Amino acid sequence: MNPKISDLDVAALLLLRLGPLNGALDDLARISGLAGGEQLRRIMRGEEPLPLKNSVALASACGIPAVTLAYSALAEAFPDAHAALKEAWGGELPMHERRLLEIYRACGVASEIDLDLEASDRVAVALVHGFGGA
Amino acid sequence: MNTTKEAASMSPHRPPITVQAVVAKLLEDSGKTQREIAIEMGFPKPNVLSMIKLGQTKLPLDKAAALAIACGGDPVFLIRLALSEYHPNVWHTLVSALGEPLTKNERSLLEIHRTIDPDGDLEIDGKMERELVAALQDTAEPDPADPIAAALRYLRSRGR
Repeated sequence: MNPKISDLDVAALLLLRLGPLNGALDDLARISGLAGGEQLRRIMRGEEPLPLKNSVALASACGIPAVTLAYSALAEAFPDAHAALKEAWGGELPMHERRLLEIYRACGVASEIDLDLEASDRVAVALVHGFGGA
Repeated sequence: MNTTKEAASMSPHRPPITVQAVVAKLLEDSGKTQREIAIEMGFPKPNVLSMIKLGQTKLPLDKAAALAIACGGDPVFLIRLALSEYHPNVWHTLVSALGEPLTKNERSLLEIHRTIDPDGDLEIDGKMERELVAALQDTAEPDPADPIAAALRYLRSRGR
């Protein structure tokens, strides 16, 4: 688990941070692009999901790491998308691996090239040749 | 050494891929009717797919995984594209902390690379890039005498 990712849901994250600031919620909601303080209160009570589009601004406005709130908002608003991505985050990649992915992605047109056994072998041969192995 | 049958070019000014274009390609390549796909996704009417394909409405993010799976695609490919197109600030926030989510094919590609270059200290130069593009696009003329390719064929024939 990334240390910036929390197991807490959006409501708990906001309640911990904003609970004592009841009077300031209208301002925070406005700055974050929410409809108003009442919407923010409903989100804090877990009665409605935090819109993903407001998550970064709200995090910034109330001092929560943006990735923490955005990740939790994604999980709650779009659980299927979150589930599909959960194990797929690649972490920080070295420069040459990023370059390899760029080359791979540029070869597909609005889709991915399927790396079946034949394609995998061709790639392996190209890499070995490129690295001077043959 | 393989020789390329044709020039495998990649335009440096290629337009960005859009959700609309990817959905159109997924539907086209799926071998299914839009009605079949809509039913699998839980869309009541297939015309929503037509509207997404024509750019008249956005792909609901909570349907992206189901659409990709129904069409035989990788959910990560479509979801990350939809996130980056529809919610760019959220996308950049997540990627800056967690890295990009990788598709199954991309994870395989990195595994191949890490097997061949476990120390990760060899650079991808222009020559290697051309070889990789030719390999990925299958535009290289196979060299039957290539010892690396022959060794791989042997391993495959032994079930490895």
